Amino acid sequence: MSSQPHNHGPQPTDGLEPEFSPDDPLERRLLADGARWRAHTAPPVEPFARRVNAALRESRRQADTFEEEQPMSQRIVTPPTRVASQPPRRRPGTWNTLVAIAAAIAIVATLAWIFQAIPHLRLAGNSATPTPQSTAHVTHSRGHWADVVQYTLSSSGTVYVASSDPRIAFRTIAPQSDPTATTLARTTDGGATWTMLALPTDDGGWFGGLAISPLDSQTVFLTLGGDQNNPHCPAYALGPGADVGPAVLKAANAPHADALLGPLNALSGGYGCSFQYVSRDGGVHWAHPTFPWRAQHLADSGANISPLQTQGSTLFAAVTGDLNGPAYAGVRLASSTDGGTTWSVADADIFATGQIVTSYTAIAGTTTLYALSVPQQTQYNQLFSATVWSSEDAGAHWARVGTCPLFQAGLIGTTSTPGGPTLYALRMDTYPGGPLPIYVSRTSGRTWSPVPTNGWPQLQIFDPSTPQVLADGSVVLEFPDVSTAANQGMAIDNTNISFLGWRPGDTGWFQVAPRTGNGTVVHLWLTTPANGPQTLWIVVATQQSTIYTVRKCVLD
Amino acid sequence: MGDAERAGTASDGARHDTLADVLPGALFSHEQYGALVQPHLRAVLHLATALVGPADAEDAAQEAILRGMQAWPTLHDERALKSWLLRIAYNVCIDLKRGRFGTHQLRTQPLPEADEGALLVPLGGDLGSSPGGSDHAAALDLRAAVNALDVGLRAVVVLRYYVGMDATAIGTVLRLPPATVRTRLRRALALLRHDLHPHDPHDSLPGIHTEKGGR
Repeated sequence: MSSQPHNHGPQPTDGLEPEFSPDDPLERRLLADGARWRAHTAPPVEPFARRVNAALRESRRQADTFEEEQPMSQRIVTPPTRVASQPPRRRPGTWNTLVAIAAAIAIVATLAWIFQAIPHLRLAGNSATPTPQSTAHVTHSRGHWADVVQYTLSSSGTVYVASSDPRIAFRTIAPQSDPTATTLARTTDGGATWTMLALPTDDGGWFGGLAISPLDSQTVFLTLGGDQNNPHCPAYALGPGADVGPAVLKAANAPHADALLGPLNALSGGYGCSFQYVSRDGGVHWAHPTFPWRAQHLADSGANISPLQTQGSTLFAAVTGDLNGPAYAGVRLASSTDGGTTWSVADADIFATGQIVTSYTAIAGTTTLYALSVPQQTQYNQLFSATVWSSEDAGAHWARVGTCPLFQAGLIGTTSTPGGPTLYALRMDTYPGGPLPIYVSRTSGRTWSPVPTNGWPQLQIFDPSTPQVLADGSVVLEFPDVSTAANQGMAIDNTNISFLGWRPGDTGWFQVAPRTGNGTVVHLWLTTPANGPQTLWIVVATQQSTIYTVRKCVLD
Repeated sequence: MGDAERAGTASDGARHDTLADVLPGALFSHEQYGALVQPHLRAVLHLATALVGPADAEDAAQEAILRGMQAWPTLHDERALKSWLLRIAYNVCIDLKRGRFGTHQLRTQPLPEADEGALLVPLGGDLGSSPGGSDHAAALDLRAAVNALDVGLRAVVVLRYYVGMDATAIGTVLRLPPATVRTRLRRALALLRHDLHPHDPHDSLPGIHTEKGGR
């Protein structure tokens, strides 16, 4: 309760292990300061434990009285409500209860208004176009944002929208009483109706992530997570930082080892394993996909640019082995010609040289792939310029074509420009004032030139995870607003986003689409129809992630 | 993770299959709940301290423990008890903050979208040592830099290094994949290096991945 220093001095790091590197001085400082914070700022646990145990005893006494009056079935489904005679608590629950009642009334009234005023499915066309806002760096603007579909959830959740049809989406549903029991629902009519989906239970994992195939909205990849208490995970007999490889997996007492996805970089003392599933019928039935390696799963988008990419009917995926995030840079590249059920190695030539892919791009309409790589077991804080590779046969064979001046960079490209592909390499760890983070190649990756930054916001920073390349070879990036305050450093405002583009040969950047505001852009993608203009799509979350609005901007 | 917490999570090699195996006939027993939460009290208290500050931390943490007992029959798998408790504590702290601001302000000034990490209180200057020394100044600089981070990044840094949660637990509380948590941590460390040592060669090190989910 008190913020006075307590008489339990900190250990140097209080036993907490570094997350990434034991040699990182910044991590050492954070660990030491964290220990100091726990010792001197957090209330001491012993008095708190005594107080809580007294409260628990009192609550149990109340509950026992209740249970004597109720049948067992009601005891289980209807937990007893605590009464006011609690052990000492500084803030009785009355005020919170009143607030909760008021909030509930407000929510009900709001929902009633929403259901009365807004159809379940809003195909608003241009009617809800936000007013474009000006920026200081506009040279010219293309298109405007129009609301297409709006998903209104009864409680906070995550919505995954199919890029092939924004009326198809999945949402997470997490009971507040048990967040580990998250499940899914699916809609095919823009949210008018939702169908509850059962997650697979054979591995006992909890919801860890979802990806909709860009080829087919019926195909969904699901990742479930487990921890050291899940008997289907490898035994947790290994200490933090232990090297857990396939041999250990094989020896582990893991009933589902074949489907098991990797353990773990346990540097933090945490432990996670994961289980990969695929559904070909929109989440009704689930099965384990077949990977060419043991203990792998689809990479999180943070580990690569666009982990899932397509070429015709072939699906490519960046695959990783660690739900906790890889200890080393790099992913494996796999391809599937059956929609994602069976996967084959697509980076064998690269891996055989001792390199590992860090990013790739599949050029649409061809069988050409480009990839960047670094030496295997390159840690994130090691400096290596990326090696550039190309494949003309969808990953069956690779040739080294050059060196990219950036290391562990993201790679994107297009083929629609005259004279061959335009490739861009983006530095992933951008920050205001940082090194020049983007290069372009018009020579199929053999040579690279820095992209000018004229027209960027004064505090340059962009989100490198969502770059797009337009048909004319322009690269499009998101720039969140960045502000500074005295002695406060910089603040990144992810709710106000500018969309800027650069075309090869230009001296500066131009505004591609109007700025967005009043909501977090949680997803962005580009569609390129055979006949017609390209369209930029975004999904914006508002109202504490209870409303997701799909917007599009036609780039004509 | 401290020893007391390890003791309750079967990391000693023992496999606790179900609560019924461990505590026969004890399913939904409030007595057993009281015993099982003991190893996690410190983690709940530290999380509450980070979210609502030390003055309100014990209230919030106690409320979370009591809410947990009410909802105990709904917990499908007692092995998830710790992450379940931490998520409840997180929700309690959000409720506490919202209640303090009043419902009118709540409706007109909604919490930042998808950034409930904004509810974290800033790290204070109580360092438990005499002010004026270089260590003291350096620690204050560090905390100021952490406080200046974008809320999404600040949340993972505080929960990781100050509260002492691992990436999996943070992911459960913030409803993020652990990989996203680590992605945010990498980016946050790069920004902190830049803020604290703008000319340090370490500052230019690569490897920070960002993603949509990490915002």
